[in-house]
Amino acid sequence: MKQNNTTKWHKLDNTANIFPVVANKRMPNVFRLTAVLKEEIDPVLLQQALEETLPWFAAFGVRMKQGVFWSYLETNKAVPRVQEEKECPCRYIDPFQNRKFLFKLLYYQNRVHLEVFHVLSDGTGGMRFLKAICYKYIQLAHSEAFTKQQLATTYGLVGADNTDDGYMKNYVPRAGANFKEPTALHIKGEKLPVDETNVLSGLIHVEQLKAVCKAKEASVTEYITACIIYGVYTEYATETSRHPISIFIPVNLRRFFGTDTSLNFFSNIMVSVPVTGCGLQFENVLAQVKQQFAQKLTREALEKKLAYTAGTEKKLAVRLTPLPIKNMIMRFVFSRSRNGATLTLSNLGVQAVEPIFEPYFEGFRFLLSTNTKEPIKITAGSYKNQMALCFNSLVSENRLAKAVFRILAKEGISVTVESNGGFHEKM
Amino acid sequence: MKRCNECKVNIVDNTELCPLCNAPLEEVEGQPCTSVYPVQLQSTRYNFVKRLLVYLSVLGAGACAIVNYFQWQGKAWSLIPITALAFLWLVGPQAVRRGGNVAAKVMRIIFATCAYLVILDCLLGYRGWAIDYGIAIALCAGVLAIDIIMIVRRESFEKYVWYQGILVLCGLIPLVLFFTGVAASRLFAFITAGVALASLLATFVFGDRNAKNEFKRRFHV
Repeated sequence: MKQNNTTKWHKLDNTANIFPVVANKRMPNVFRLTAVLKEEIDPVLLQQALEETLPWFAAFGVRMKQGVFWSYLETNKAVPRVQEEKECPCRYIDPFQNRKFLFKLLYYQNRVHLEVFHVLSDGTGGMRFLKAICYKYIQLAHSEAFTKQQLATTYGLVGADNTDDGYMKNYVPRAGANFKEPTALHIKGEKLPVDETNVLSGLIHVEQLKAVCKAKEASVTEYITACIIYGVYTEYATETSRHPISIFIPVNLRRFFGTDTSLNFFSNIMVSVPVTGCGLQFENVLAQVKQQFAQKLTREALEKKLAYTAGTEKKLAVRLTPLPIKNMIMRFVFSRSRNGATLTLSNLGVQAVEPIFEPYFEGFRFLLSTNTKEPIKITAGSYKNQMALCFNSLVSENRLAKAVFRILAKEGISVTVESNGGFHEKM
Repeated sequence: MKRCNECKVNIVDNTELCPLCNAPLEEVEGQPCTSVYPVQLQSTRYNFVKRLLVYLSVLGAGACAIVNYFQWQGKAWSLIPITALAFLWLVGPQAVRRGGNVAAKVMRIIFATCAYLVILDCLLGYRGWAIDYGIAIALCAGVLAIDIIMIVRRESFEKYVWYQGILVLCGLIPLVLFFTGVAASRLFAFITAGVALASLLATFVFGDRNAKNEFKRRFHV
C-alpha cells in the first residue's frame, strides 16, 4: 500500500477558492454520489476499503488551512470513519469536524454514499474515488471470486494522484468578456427547515429516452433541459413573469482540454428561455435549447470563460491581497451574481465500471446541495439501461418533478420514482 | 412497488400517496416496496444548558443596568459586569468548542483578553495599566501556552508554528508602544519581546524542515 508520511499540500484550484468563502448550512456546496450495490453493505469491510483506497487519492486525504493570501489543502494524517446514513443528504461539512476531512463516506442498506465538499473535487473526480472504494470493497467482500492477481491489483486509480489545476494549465489569455447573466425567474415555495431536504429520484429507461431524443433530433441533456424549462414554465411562471427561465449547466472540461485532474475542472453554460405570456410550446423550448447548446458548448466559448476566471487569479494585485480582504470581495461579488440561474442541471453522463465488477453494481445516483436562490437542483447520471434523474429540493412540494416526469411518461418513457419522504413529512 | 395512474409512474417507496401529485396509489403485484432512505433524525439538539446560560446572562446584565440607572451615582459601573459577560460569551464557546487547532483557540482568547483589558481600564477611569503591562502579560502567557502545546505535541508541532508566529509578532507590540511613548513600562515591553523572540528562535533551532515548510505554505501567493 502506498504510504504517505510527509505533509504534502496543494493550492485550491481556481473554482474551489469560492466554496469555503460562501459555504454554510443553507448553502453547503456539497454533492453526493451514490453507488447502489446488489448486496447489504458491511461497514467493517467498507472502512477497510476506505483506508486502503484513500492514500492513492491525493485530492481527498486532505484538510483545509488558511494562509496569508490563499487557502490551501494539506495532507490529513487522521483516519476517516465510515458512518451509517442517518441524516439528510448533502449537509454542510464543517472543516473543523469530521476529523477535518472534507468528505464523508456513508452507507445505508445496499448503498454507499460519498459526500464531498466541492472545494476538493467535482463529480467526475468524486465518482472516480467512489468507484475505487467500491472496487476495493467488492474485492474484500468477495475474495473467492477473484484471481490472486486480480486481488493484488488496486482498480480505479487512473488520474487518482493528479492534482493539477486544470484551469491554470489550460489558461490562454483572451480579450475581456462579460459573463454576467441577467436575473432569472426564481422558484418560490414553502422552505423546509435547515438540514432538511426533499429528495426525489426518477429512474428512467435509457433506451426509451434515447428513442424519444432521436425522434426529436436532440441529445439527452438537451431534451432533459427542455423538459425542465417547460416544467418550470407550466408550474412556476405567471403571465406577469418578466425574467427568463435560466438553467445553469456545469460542463466537464476534461473532455475539451484533455487534463485528467482529480480536482475541480468544470465550467458552465447558461441556457436561458424568455417567458412570454402563456404561449410557450415545448417544441419551441427544445429548439431554443438546441440552438444555445450548439452556440455555447464549444471549446472556444469555454476557453473564453476559463480565461476570464483563471485570469483574475493570475493578477498580481489579486494574489497579493490578504485572504480576509479577498474573502470579503469574493463574498460581495458572489452575492451579486447569484440571481442569474433558476436552477442547476448537472449531468454526470454515462457511468461505467470495470467489467469484472459489473455483476456487483446496480446503479449510481448523484445529488447536489441546494441554496435559497436555487431551491431545486437537478442531477442526472446513467448506468447501463437506467438513468437516475434526481431532484434535491429545499421547497416542500414536488411540482417541478411532477411536471417533468409527466412529460416523460406522456412520451411513453417508463419512470420509477424513489424518494426520501420529505414531501409526506410535511403533511 | 406501487403505481400512480395520474402521473403514470411507478413508486418504489412504501407509501399510500404519490410523492408527485398526492393521488392514492395502486399496488403492483409481485414487486415489493423498499425504503431507500433512512427515517431522518432531528438533527438540531435542544441545548438546555446553553439556553439557561443565555437567559441568566441577559437577566443579570439587565438587572445590573436597571439598578445602576435607579441608583445613579455618576458612574456607569454596570458596564463592567456587562462587558465581562460579553467577554465570557466571546471566549467561552471558543474554549469549549470541540475540534479546531488548540493554538488558534489560545491565540483568539489572548486577543480577546487584550481587547477586554483595555476596555476595562477605560471603564475604571483609564490609568494605563492595560497598555503598560496588562497586554504584555497576556501576550507573554499566550506565547508560553503555545510553547507548552508545541512541546507536549511535538510530533505535530508544525501545526502550531503559524499561530506562534502571529503571537510572536504581536509580542513586539508592547516594545513599539514603549518606544512611541504610549506605554510606560520598559521592563514588561522587553520581557514580552524577549520571550516571543526566544520562542521563535527555539522553533527554528529545534524544529526541522517542517517549520519552514509551514511558513512557506502559509505565505504562498
